[in-house]
Amino acid sequence: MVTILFVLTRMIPGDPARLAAGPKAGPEQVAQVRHDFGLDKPLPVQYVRYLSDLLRGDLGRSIQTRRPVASDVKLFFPATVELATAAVFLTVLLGIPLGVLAAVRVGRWTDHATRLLALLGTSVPVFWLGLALQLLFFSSLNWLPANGRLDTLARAPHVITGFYLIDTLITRQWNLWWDAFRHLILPALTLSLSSVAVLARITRSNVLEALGQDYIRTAKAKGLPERVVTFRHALRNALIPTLTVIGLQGGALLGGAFLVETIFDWPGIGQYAVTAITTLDYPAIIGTALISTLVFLATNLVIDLLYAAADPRVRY
Amino acid sequence: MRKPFRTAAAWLLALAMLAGCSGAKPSDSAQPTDNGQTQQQQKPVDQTLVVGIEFEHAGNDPAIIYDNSSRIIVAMYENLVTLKKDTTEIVGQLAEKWSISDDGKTYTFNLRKGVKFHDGTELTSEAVKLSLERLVTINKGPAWMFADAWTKIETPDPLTVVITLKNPDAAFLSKLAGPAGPQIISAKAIKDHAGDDNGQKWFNENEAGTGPYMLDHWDKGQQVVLKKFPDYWGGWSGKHLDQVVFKFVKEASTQEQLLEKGDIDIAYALPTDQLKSLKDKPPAGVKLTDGSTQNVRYIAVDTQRGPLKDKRVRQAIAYAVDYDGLLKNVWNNLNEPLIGPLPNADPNHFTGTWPYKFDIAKARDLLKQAGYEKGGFSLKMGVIDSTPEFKDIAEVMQQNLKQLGIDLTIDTNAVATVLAQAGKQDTAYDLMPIGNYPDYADSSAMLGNELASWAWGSNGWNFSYYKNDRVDQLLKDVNLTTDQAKRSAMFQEIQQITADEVPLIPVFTRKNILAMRDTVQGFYLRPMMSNSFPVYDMYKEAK
Repeated sequence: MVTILFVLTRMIPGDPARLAAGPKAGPEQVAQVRHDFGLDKPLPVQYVRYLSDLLRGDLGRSIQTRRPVASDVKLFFPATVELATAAVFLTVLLGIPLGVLAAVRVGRWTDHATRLLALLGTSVPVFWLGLALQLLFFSSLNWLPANGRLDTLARAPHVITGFYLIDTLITRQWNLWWDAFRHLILPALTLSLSSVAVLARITRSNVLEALGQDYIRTAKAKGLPERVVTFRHALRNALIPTLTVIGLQGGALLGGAFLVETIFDWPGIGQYAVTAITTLDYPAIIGTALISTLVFLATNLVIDLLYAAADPRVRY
Repeated sequence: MRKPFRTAAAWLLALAMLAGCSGAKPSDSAQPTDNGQTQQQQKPVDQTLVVGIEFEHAGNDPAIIYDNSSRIIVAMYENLVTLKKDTTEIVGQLAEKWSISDDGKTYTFNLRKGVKFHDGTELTSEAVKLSLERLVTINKGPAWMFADAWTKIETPDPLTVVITLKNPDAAFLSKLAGPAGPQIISAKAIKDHAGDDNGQKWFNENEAGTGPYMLDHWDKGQQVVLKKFPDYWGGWSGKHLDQVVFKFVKEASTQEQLLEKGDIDIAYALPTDQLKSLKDKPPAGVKLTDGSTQNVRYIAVDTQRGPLKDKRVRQAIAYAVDYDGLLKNVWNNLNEPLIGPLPNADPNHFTGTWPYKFDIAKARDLLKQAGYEKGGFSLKMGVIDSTPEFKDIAEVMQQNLKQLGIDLTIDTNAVATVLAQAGKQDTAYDLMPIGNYPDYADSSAMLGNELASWAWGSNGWNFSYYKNDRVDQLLKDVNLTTDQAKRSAMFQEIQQITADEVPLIPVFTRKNILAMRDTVQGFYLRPMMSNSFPVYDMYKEAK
């Protein structure tokens, strides 16, 4: 993985040192920057040095910010995780009820409306959706802020977890919590909409399938209330494939965050990575890619573990 | 069955309304206090200027920063000399007066008395010496102007600095006065935080200047907040800003929305199409300022390769650019025409006749003379993707050159890639739209950069790989004399040669139209100071 990233980044023609030195810097000054970051060494030497640093947990120093990549990741990653977590919550909170609703009212207007919503959710480009939500909720209605994590003059809470919603609760800064919450809504909604759509469709078809099973007929015949039949019997059995989708969407959300962070000036790892890519900041590109991969793998592990909770037949 | 859904829907709706209907304007919901806590306040803080910037702040070290972030740093640091307002006239800043020896090699600066740094120490000649030496020792970004400039810097007394140059340099004061000129840092801070890297890590995050505003905090990826330095030597009588916030807002459309709502006071980088609509129909409370810049946009023409080696072919291409069409129809007259390689506002701007206008017949005639009557060759143009005007130029030229039988391929890429390609002669583009600006207020700054043979490719900004012995000699001589009349004549001669040989095709000078709230007062753009604006002279007035 590291090798592929290393080779790929070095294959792009470009000189990060020139950009870091300033586009008008003289050749000696560019050479100084190149030397400072070890870019003047032959590629194999750079590679071995990077690997040995990596083994010691050192992700190198960003050419653009001149800070260690690890500290930049620590600085920016919590914002992305907070956004992605909020988006997963929204996905589950909206996607599953919508799917169940469509399944139990199959063929009726609620079903059609849900399907239409799902279609829109998967086909509307994130960029367009983000701008449209900004125009509606900020420009026209003035209900929600357009960008950023906090209001302009609000001072960020003392970093404990890096998640503003949690840090402000711990430090009991209620106004700031509210401020952070309001800023989170539009980006989280934008990020989650396509996942909501996918999840609603999957839940709908799984619940529909489950509702046609014999045990559902038995449950109904026993005289159980419809609510119990739907949620305890049908939904629970439909959850396994749904969980898989949530897991996959978790990864997609992380990728989607790159775009959403740009639209909403969300100071997360997505913005950092976009800047790193456009300025060919090799250590920052590899560092963020590695961390994102690890997080993606960890998310899938959690989902695998959740299978066991959802389905008693699954044992590890 | 229906109940749970209704309950859930009701909760969601309530939550959405609760979040939305607080109706709080961003700037009045939470305000910081000294202990970092927040509290409710009624109105936005008076005299807080919020500037929407499209770039992430790169750091605070004046010895390293050599890009857009200079616009932020100039509020915190000061130079020995500076430029008066928006002109190119050099006036004292930390130096009260100065004298130059007859041989043009020794500069003696008398420093202003009682100037304090943000760390509480006083300005001394030692601070000046250490700041200048630190710049060339670190040898990054702006150091190229000074790397080999002086033989010694002496400090005969705490308020006198004597700089002895290796060679006379008529542009030396201009170099000191530019945004990339040595900014003076507290001697104590330089010594205390030197570490093993000359304090590069420390000064990236902190600052110790003498400027009117000091760093309050920097939320990475979000904003830089500067606050008034109470002990500023210029004093605080009259109207001034208390705080200046540079807020990172990447998307131009978001900047525009924030400006209309009053959440930012100045939108720094709106593209011309947005400016056009704002100009035609300005929203309530928004005004536009119109200022000339020294930022020129031209097309570098590779003079060393293929048909372009022949100056008649280069001249033909210069006749095949629809300048008026671009200025009027594509950019809605929001840019100014450019005649010659120097910006219109430059005192040595070309006074001769620049022959090139859009004239396909003339272009065809020149091509015929060069043996390319039907064109029949192709050219490659490298285009930096982040500048919309470059794409416009490329597309219009592609159509124009087609009429001459020249096939133009457009290669659009990120700036890092384009500069790397253009920087080496074997991978350089045939044509390349480029933006340039003088690094200091002297006509030699840009001409040397664009035309000197020692500035080829990545050695400077000569992406035309142009070499002319006479031009090289003039560029060397022009800084050895301080006689302005002689210098002017030399600058005119260089430009006359350029008009004949066409190593570059001037297209336009960028106008700097900025959209801002009508409460912002005292604004003017400093074209020679990285297009920054003088926050110290600015204030807000209720409308």
